[in-house]
Amino acid sequence: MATASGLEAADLNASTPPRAPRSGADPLDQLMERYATGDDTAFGPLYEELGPRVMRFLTRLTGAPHRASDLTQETFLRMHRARGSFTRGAAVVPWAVAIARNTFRDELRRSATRHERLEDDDERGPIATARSTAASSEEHAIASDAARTVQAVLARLPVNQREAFVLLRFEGLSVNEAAEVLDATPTAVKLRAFRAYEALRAALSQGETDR
Amino acid sequence: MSSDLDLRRLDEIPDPAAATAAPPLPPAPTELRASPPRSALRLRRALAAVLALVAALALALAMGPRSDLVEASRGGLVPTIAVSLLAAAAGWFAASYRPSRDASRWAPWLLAPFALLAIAGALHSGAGVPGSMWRATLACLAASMAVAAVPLAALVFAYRHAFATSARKRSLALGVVAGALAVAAMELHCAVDSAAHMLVGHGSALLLAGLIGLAASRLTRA
Repeated sequence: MATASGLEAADLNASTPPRAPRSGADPLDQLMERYATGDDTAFGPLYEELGPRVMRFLTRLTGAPHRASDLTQETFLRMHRARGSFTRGAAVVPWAVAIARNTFRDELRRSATRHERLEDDDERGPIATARSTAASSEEHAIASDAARTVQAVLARLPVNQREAFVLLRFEGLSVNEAAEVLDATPTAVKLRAFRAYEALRAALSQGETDR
Repeated sequence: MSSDLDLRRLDEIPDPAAATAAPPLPPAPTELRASPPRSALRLRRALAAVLALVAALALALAMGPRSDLVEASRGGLVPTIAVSLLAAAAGWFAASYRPSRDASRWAPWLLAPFALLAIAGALHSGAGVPGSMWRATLACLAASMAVAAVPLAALVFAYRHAFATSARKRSLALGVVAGALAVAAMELHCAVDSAAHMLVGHGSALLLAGLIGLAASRLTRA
């Protein structure tokens, strides 16, 4: 984690991303390339490899694993529908994340759950409950509190800030990749992510003060 | 502004899911409807582009060729049609191939010259132009939009659920393709070739078709 974060951190402030573009050399990209050219047998392995990442992204966006589960299936249905439009040589992760984000946005519009809060969700358990059971020491308790705070604040953030922050901090996308996924300029993405960071930092500091 | 944003600080925020088991992955969708692979989609889209061109030409012929076709072909008709077809090709290219980040930043501004042309034409023709000219221009615009509808429908159908990213810009490009084809077709039909008429009638047609394409991005988004 620390290594990955360090590499990402180096990317984040660069005007030109130093990371080499992901290309067809990535096994996942090769799998998607096979699928895009009509090899139906690639769908299973692709789902196994990419599904957890899409699920994790959607869980972070929605804060609700049961919703993320439905949206993950919807995302892969859309990927199947659009597989022929996948650009040769492109990276599959930003493409899949963009479709997952579209799915999330559509679901928001449909169900008008924009203001739904994590604490109102019956199924926030898998993140919060696991934390609770792991809270066997003071460190774990503090970590648990911080995790809950992060999840709760994320759920309250404006969607565009939440998306930018999740993509940069947790999903490991570069600023340029996130900008492409969000259909925004890199500067706008940085600004949104930083606003989210400030809100999260303030909430975490408040929590530390309260303790 | 962006240089002040030290995004390395994002790492200070703990990942709430880092130490927990990943949520269980739902079963993979099993009942997948047939979806065309890349080669089939390319063929479908090429056919849609041809259909859009043929439909625009057929509609122009159905409305009847302009009375001064022979004289006009020696004048400004050919360059105007060539520019329109070039705009259509550029729009099709922009929609079909994922534009680079820099290209997608300036792509929407492609419509700005058309908007300026329409405004300039309207201002230029505002004084001293008889009402009949305005009526003819509006009729021309309406006919252009009617002609653009068929190519746009064909293109949106061929590109439905295609754009994972930049869906709005690429849908706008599809609208420009349809608008440019309609302008080329109308050039074959409409004998009014005053600058004001062409600027307002044709500039507005491109602009409107682009905006309709933009509105269709819900259909083209993956």
